[in-house]
Amino acid sequence: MLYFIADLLALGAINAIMAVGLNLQYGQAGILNFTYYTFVAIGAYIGAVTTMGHPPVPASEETFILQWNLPWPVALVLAGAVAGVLGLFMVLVVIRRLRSDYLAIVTVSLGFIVWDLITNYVPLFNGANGLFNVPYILNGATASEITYTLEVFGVAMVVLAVCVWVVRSIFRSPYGRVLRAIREDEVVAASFGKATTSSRVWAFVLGCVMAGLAGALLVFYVNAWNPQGFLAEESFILMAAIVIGGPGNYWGAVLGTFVFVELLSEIERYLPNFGNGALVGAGRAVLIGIVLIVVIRFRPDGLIPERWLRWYRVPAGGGQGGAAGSQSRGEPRRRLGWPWLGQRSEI
Amino acid sequence: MLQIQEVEFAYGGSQAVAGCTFDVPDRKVTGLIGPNGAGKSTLMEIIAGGLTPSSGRIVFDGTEIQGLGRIRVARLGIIRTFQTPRELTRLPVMENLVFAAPNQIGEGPLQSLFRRSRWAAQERELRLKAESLLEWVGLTKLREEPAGSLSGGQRRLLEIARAMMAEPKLLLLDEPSAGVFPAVRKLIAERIREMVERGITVLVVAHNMAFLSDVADDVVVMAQGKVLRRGTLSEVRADESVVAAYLGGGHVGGTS
Repeated sequence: MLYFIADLLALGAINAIMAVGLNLQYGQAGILNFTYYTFVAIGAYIGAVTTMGHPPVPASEETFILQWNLPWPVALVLAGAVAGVLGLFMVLVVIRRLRSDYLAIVTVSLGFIVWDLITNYVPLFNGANGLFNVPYILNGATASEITYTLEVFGVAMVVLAVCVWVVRSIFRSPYGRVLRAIREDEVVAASFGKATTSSRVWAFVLGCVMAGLAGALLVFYVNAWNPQGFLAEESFILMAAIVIGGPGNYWGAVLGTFVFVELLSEIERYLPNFGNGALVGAGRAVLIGIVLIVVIRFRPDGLIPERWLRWYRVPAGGGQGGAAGSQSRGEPRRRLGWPWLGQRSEI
Repeated sequence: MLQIQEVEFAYGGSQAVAGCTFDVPDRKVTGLIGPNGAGKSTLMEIIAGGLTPSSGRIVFDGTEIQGLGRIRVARLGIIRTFQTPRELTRLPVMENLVFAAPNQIGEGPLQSLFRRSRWAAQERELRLKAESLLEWVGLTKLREEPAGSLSGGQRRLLEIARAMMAEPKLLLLDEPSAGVFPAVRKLIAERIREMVERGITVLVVAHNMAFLSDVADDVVVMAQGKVLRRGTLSEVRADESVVAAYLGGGHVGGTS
């Protein structure tokens, strides 16, 4: 039971990293990326091949590129970087010409291209058999299963904290506001001179970096990875988690994954199998669909709507407090350089 | 301030703007009127950088701006409002305003993370400025409301405040008074006059003559993609060809 909870926590933290990244892309920047899990997979593969060494540990039939033997923190950073660079390539191809729905379709097809490439080109990441015997990180080789799980959970929480910090800073900054403006109406954002393309590109790339980090942590945790691990379905489940949690709100993303992805993957064991084990997965997919419909019907902004975040809180410093803050506290209003705007008129 | 020279534009086969030429004088309100389909909105879109004219030049402060694209045109100080108000509907009124301020520190991803103290200070100033603009248009109480919940007239006012937030040199107003209550229309006209006193040049498309007589120094009449007449509002209203254009293009100098 204790192990079960630890496992839930570790996987939950890793999934939350993905959700925070995807939420930056979809919730904040409004880019529908239906192949987010591809970047998770890229991170996982890079994390694996840069730590497995040469010859692979222990000597096996696996063939794959690099075969480096880097310390795991380096591999983790590298995984994030590679996912980010691939994300950059992808987004540069699609974003200039395409808008929301079309862009989403292209992300789906690019995801399939990557999947087919990895599955069929064996020298890259050992093809459909995938990579196994990925080394443990920290003292995982000798520690008990539950200790290792908790260690991974700790590392994942640190990474998650960094990701949440980044997304939170962006959310509160002028950059976040530009992203939301583009999401609401790109023409308006451009009409006020905002850099629409580069803003979205960087949000996308940052989201992909987070996917890569999560992927590497996942592969360090489960010690194996193959193409069955990143079917298109996974991206949709993550997307559903965000819609349910509250798109645009980073806490919503975290909650959405912990509650939704975790509970639903655990609920699988309680679903009836109708005499056919394969139906359980289908039952889960149906359940996800039902939950999604219910949430969209009754709470269209998700469990934690974006507006619950405090819009106007200006970071401390300067001793003034935010302008809106001082307003609500009833302090006299200061006027800066616009004395001509004196007269008040109410509609 | 702005010179429009022989500008042409066609949507597929239909010539929307056919060799349009006029000047928008500095620190004045120039009204742009004409019957439906005269090419007014298309011309506004061309000036704002949303469309590239097939020929002709648009010169702003001595630089040619045709075909520069929305972003670069906006950065030169040409700010527009939209025929149907386009608020950022899910963002609060306050965010709608602050967003519009030009050249903000912290609009890049790295700056947003590592220049925090600098953009925070700027943010306080922008919010104060936005507050005073909200007061100016009488929307102070709606500060925290999502812009999508505002009424039609309030949206028009918010668009004007937002445009002011962007510190424009030239303001393009596309039917700022359409579909609003007369009292609000008066207020909008008043605010536009105040902008001009602050040194902003305005080009305004409008249909409402009462509104135009309140705001416009000068009126350009467009018909079928060309400039038909230019003068004060009373001059052009007395002009037979203008009346004819409004009543139906086929009867210029007509019989009745």
